[in-house]
Amino acid sequence: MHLLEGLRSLRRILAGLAPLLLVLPAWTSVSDTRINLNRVNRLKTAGRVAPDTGQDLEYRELLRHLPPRGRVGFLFGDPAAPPSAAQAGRRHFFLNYSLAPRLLVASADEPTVIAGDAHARGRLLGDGRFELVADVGGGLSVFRRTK
Amino acid sequence: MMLAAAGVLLPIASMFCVVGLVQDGGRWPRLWRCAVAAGVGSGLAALLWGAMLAAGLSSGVAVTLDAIIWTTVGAAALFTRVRRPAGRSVEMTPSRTVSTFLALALFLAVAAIAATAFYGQASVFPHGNWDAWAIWNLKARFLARGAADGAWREVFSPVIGWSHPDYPLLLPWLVARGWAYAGRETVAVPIAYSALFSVALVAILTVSVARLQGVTAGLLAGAFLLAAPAFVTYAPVQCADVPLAFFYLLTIALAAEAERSRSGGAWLLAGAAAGLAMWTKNEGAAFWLISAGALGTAALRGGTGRPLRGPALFLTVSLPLVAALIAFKTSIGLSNDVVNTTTAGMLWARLADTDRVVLVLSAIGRELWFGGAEWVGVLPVLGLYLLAQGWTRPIEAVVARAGVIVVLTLAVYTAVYLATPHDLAWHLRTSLDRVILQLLPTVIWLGCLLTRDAL
Repeated sequence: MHLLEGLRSLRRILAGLAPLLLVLPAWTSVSDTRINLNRVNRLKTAGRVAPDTGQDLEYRELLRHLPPRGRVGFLFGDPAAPPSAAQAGRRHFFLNYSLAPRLLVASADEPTVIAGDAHARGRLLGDGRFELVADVGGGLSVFRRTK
Repeated sequence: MMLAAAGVLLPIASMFCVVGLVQDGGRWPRLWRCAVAAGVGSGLAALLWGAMLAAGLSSGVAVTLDAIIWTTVGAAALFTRVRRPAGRSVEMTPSRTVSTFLALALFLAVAAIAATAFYGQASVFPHGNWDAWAIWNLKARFLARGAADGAWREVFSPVIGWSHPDYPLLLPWLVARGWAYAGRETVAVPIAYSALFSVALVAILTVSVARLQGVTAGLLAGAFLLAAPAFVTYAPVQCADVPLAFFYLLTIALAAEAERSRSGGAWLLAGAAAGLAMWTKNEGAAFWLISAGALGTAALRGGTGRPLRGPALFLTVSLPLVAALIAFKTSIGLSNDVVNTTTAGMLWARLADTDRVVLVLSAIGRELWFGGAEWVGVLPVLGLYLLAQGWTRPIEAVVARAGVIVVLTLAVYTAVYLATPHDLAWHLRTSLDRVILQLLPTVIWLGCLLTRDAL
């Protein structure tokens, strides 16, 4: 009888304490949140916008040199030492996000081509079929196919 | 910004009046009505916006028409309601004061952490995470910027296959609609919808469990979700997983409410929630099929009087949404990266590969244990609580049915991982936590209703 009552008491105590164990998973969120709050403070102190917002504004500078819709070529990286898939994907996908509803194609076979970095810019400058339309900063340039 | 807020709030306010009209099983708590209206109103507003865009209306005309439609719906529901006698109020199960106070303290503590985390994440990443800007907000920009000249149809182009052109467009339409009301693109709209679905999800979980099991159990259920690192991480990222989790839980909770109060209105709203789940993500199609089948089977097996009335009402609302989705998918003729690149022979070889089975099951097991946490996630804590508190016997029919729906949906997810043509380790690493999160609130709902009596 005593053993049964003891077990019941133990269960009651466990049932009361179990929800308090939520502190453990919640703590993971606390440490991640601290990192983000530090970033927010640093951005505020420096008077800067969030990095993605800055990049979006920078990429949008390309808009006035591009057709309003349709396919636009995109070159990025050095073929001899290609960037990682994550790095290339980030540049390509975020650029398409900024330039929508245009469709960014990883190719130079389009009438308008964006060079995504200095390597791509150099390749297009050395290719007689293209002329430079604009350099917009951040390593981005727009080229037009002439032949 | 005021116009954007009006655009977000108008369908919610109208749906709040409609929900008030259909709450025929007794008066529902205001918080519950608000949360139901927030999800269903926003979802239906997105579909209406998509239909107007497909009809070739300009943004200006669409905003005017949209505002007229939602104002008329709200006014009609309000006018009809004031002419009806008020229903009786359904009280929540009373709870012991000290345990309720402790549960409330725990709820508020984890809610404060989650709210701070949301603020930090949304401030540092206002365009959302990778999937948000590469998929959901990218589509919203196509729909908003290409509305005038029809360029929005490029959203289905295989050139941007990496953005999953076959995904349903509920969330992008919703964001594009908000931008049209605002008159410009602003990150405030997707951030507001992330907050809206997250808060509504916590509210539905808390109030539903409170109504079925008592206030203390409801607060604990809310605390379990708010303490989950996966929920805190994904709530502000502007992807469709939290809205999908909302529609899953809403379907289950409304079906339970419908059976409890014999409410035809709850069945109609459950049908709407299941249909909207299909329009939120492809996984919603599996959920709709499973829940419609489970509801129909349960009605046939255990019903008295008119057992098929509930499932019939459920289908009355959800079938048109399903038909519209099938018409949409057929008209754009898109292929899915998992389904269309797999032959029967390849599928069988993958399913029979024991290494793949072990890899998938162990990854799911790890995710269920950790759920984004360092040492232990919320589900093992919920399990310990259930063991210590004891569970209800016999298990209620609505709880058992919800359990079957969750298990079968998880089985479909598992089968998709086994069949995936992508690199399995990469596929699991980049999506499993979000996929499990879709079911997490419903699992917490189940666990709290299985528990014998809260504290």
